[in-house]
Amino acid sequence: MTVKIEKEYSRLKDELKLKDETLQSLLELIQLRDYTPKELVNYTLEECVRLTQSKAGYLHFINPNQKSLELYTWSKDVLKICTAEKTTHYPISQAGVWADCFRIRAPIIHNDYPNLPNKKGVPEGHFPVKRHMSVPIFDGNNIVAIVGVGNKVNPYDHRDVRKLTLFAGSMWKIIRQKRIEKQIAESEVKYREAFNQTEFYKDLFIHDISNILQNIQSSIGLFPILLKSGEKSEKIDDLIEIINDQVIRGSKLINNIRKLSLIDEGGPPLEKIDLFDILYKAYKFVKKSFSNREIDITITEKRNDIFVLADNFLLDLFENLILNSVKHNQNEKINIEIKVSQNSEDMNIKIEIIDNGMGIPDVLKSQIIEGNYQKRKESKGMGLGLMLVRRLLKKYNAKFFIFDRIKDDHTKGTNFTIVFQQVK
Amino acid sequence: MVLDPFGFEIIGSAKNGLEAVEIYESLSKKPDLIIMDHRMPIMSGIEASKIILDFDKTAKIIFASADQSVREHAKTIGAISFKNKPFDNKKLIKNIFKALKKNSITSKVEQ
Repeated sequence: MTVKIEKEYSRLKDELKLKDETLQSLLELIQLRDYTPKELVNYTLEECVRLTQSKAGYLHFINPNQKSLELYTWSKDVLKICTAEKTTHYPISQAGVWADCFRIRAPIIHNDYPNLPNKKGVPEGHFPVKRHMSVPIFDGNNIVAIVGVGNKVNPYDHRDVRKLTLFAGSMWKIIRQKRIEKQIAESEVKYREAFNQTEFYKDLFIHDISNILQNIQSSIGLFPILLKSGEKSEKIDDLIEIINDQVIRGSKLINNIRKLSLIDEGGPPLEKIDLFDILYKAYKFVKKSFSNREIDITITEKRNDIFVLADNFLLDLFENLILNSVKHNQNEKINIEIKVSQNSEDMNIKIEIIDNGMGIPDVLKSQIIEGNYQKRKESKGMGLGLMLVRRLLKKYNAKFFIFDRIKDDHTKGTNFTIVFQQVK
Repeated sequence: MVLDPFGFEIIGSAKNGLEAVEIYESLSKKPDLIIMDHRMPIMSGIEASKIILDFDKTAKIIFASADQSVREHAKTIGAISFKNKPFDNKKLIKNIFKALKKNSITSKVEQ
């Protein structure tokens, strides 16, 4: 009689200790806010195995289609005793009795696993399963995961089910919360980018159009004064030219904004484009646009086997770069050298546009390379043309560098270098 | 060109803020007035004006910019006034005369 009472006392004492440990472990779990989802699953699984006095455990995530599952992890001791090949992805319909908790949508206990009538057996090298228990983890009406444990010495009962359900459910709540937080953070980044983009276009419109209108208004304002004073017709012609230039400037602005919008929306698909064909077109455009200036442009001897992955905006890219070399150049004779070379190792294609212009100070070089919306607002560092160039290069997955033509002396001109990956 | 008919002489013009500072410092006879844009490459109008006003506290600067967000900043650093583009020539001329404390604007503009 005394022995029986002592045994019962000892069992109750152990059970009480286990309950205390369960509470402690649960408290620790909900405090693991800095853990990654993988770390949370590992912690939960090991604790489920320990607190149900099992020898093994596993966790499978159910795919959103509710038809297949992914083996996420085994408890660490399983890896020591199990040599069976791990199949990580398979349809639930092919899973054994261990997945019955998904089919019946409730926890399931198999305390005599070897004698189960409908079991499929275990693969070669799998450790022998004596007892098994698994619970589904719900998210609303969907089952998102299955957690299972096995090989407890004594039979599993409702207390083990409670522990497993409580632990796995708590773990899922934390993981779900983390996923929501991540989604919110990603959405915040996207929102911020969209907001900055809108602000950029708004600012661009107000600033650049205001400048254009100012020039037109000032010119118009001078007409009556010049006419009254009987000024020479040359000055009147100058005013008409200014107004005309401003209209062209406005239409270029609209065109560039349209192009930027198209690129922001994805633009045309990338295709194999003959690089020299585009370079020569850009060359002709620039020569025609500045027929009143002495411009000497040299291009590497034409080849017919150099292709890059781009779209029809590639012409705008080179036109903008060469135009910049002309516009920011005060020399009587403008020299521009366009060099194309191919790296013998990775076969990447390098295009250098080297000019003798006024150059770019280092601080502005980094602004152009980074090319964020905010910087443009702070100064007139990057025109819309370079913004377009940067955006296109990103789309083409090409690299972009700005060097001084003469090392450490930015006032002697610029070397814009673009590196395209080879297209086979 | 806008200022020519009103008898003003342009003694220097710059393409960016840094050039404006360099020109101002190099002139032996300082201008009576500077008309400053804000958004310029290399150095902004605000930065250039700060340097010029540090160098010469008597310098008179009128901002003419399409960026209204710097209006208060311009005034804080010592600009006389801020003209928001686009504006009428007459208003700019009026501001210039006011800054130079001359009263001939009415007659010249109305002529």
